[in-house]
Amino acid sequence: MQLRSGVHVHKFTDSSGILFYNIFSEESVIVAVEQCSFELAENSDGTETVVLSDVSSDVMEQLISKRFVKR
Amino acid sequence: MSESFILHCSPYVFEVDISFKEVSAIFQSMYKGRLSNPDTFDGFIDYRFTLRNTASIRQFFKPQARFLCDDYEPFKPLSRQQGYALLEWGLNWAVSAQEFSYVIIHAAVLAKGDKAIVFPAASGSGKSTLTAYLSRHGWRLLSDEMALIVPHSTSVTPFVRPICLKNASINLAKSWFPEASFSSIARETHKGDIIHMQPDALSVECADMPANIVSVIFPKYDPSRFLDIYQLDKASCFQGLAKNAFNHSILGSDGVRTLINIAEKGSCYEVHYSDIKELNAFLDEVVQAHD
Repeated sequence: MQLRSGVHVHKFTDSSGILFYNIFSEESVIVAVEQCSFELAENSDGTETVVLSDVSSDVMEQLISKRFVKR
Repeated sequence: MSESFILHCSPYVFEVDISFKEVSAIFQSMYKGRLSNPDTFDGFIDYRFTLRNTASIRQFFKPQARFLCDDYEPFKPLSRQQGYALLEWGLNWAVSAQEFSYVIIHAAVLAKGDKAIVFPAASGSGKSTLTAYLSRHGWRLLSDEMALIVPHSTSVTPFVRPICLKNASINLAKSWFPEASFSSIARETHKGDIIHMQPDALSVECADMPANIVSVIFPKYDPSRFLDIYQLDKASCFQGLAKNAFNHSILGSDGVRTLINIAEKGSCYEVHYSDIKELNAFLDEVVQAHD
């Protein structure tokens, strides 16, 4: 599952949460680190794409309702 | 007749034209040593402000102060006795609404050497009173109102201006610092009675020296409590910074990454205090922890 363009994701180093921030809509959500994980996949053009995995249904619902993810 | 000045208030240069004698006198006292004559200045001017009387017959029987920034009037006129406060608010507005080379947070910033603490806080939290006290007790004032942060860094640029004190803080500050220079009181503004206190000489002298943010502290004056300190996690720190940031969303990814960077690199606390000396001792410990 991939994030839409303009959505930043950051896992805080003290594991206090994972931030999703949409720079276009200015909406954000911080979720618990246990409820989601992500990795960066490198594209052929050298750019990186965030790929989400192990996303809990609660978090999924939030990300979909804010239109943060591509379905 | 109006008086014009060039105000060198790093990192900006302002041209200010004031029509009221008493406001002009306060302005000169607050920014003493940082003003020059527009006729002999040939550098770049960032913003041009005018504080003028209303036109027509009203100026004779009920004068009002109007603030203009490059002929744009962002606020409704205020009474003449609130003229200096209007000028300072206008200056805040101009920078916070139009400046995009910094990430701007509504916060006070004080430093020891090159280590700064940012105090984001809502109105009424005691931020300015705390700022006034600390700036005269070993701390360098970088700003009372807005933290100018260089994107993708923790470096905060000083913007040293008078400290705005409200209501009960006015007499408190006057009793603490009888030698300091104060503006006249602007009465019955939307924030209550307010006064401006001239920044201390050392802070003005160091107005070109940036500092690095080592901690973010959300202060709250509460006379019913002792010193209560809560360490905040990095996610909460980010949320607090974002809530008080003026322009991070306009700066897009640069703005968000800058706030994340600050949250990641510094410590963060929420502090409820009633004794400002106790708080000062705690802040010393915070800075020393980063030596």
